[in-house]
Amino acid sequence: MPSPLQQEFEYFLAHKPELLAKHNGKFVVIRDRQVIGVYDDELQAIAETQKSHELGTFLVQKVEPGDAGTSQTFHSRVAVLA
Amino acid sequence: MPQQHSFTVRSQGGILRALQTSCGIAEAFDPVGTPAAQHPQFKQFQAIWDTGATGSVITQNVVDACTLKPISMTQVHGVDSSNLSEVYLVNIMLPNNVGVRQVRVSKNRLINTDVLIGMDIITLGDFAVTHQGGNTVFSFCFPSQRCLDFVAEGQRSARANQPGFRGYTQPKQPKRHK
Repeated sequence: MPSPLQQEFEYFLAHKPELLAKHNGKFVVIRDRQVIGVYDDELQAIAETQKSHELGTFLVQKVEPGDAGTSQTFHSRVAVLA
Repeated sequence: MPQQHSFTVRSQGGILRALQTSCGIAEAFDPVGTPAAQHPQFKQFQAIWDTGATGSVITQNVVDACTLKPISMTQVHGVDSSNLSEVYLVNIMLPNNVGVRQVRVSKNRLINTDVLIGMDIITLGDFAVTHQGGNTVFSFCFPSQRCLDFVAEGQRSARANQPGFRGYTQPKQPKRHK
């Protein structure tokens, strides 16, 4: 079953160049395929957004160059990808 | 100088085939800004330390036990496949009360463990694995305290074993003017 955050993540990846131009180094909050908040701190982004939206229904992502913040690599077989 | 936090795991005789420790997981919180009474409770799990993983991983079992909610997603690349995984923000309590806060971990299936400690945590400090006398000793501290270089250590040791070595450089005798 796809995650409810998948469409928000896809939105982030698709709009990363413009987000980088505007919010490099910040944490953006995305819900319903739009940016609803920009913060300096990740915990603050979560705490503030939770006042109006349930945790798990919005995406918090740091805007930074490269793909280190949006990908992980496993060179061993401890992790079994579904 | 920042306070050093460390722990050491010693095999009970013999070589360890995996580096395993206990590990506490709780939803992310600010341990300084949050009153102690409001700190979420850490649930205990087994963790494997994996230098082949760029990031740390938890299983669905951890998500359920800690009632975690996802905050993001990540593209995960494995040995022979890739997928999209949910990301959770957690605080991690390593042995000897070594705490790491606000760690973004992905969720995946793991073999024989519920937590994978990856390079995101390992690179926070110094990580050493030795096998003197056929016994594994695994030690970790953060922040980083020193550089371990076995080559340089060997060269120093070789110099020290040279005949006439006294452990220090002889000062040059000042020239006397006649």
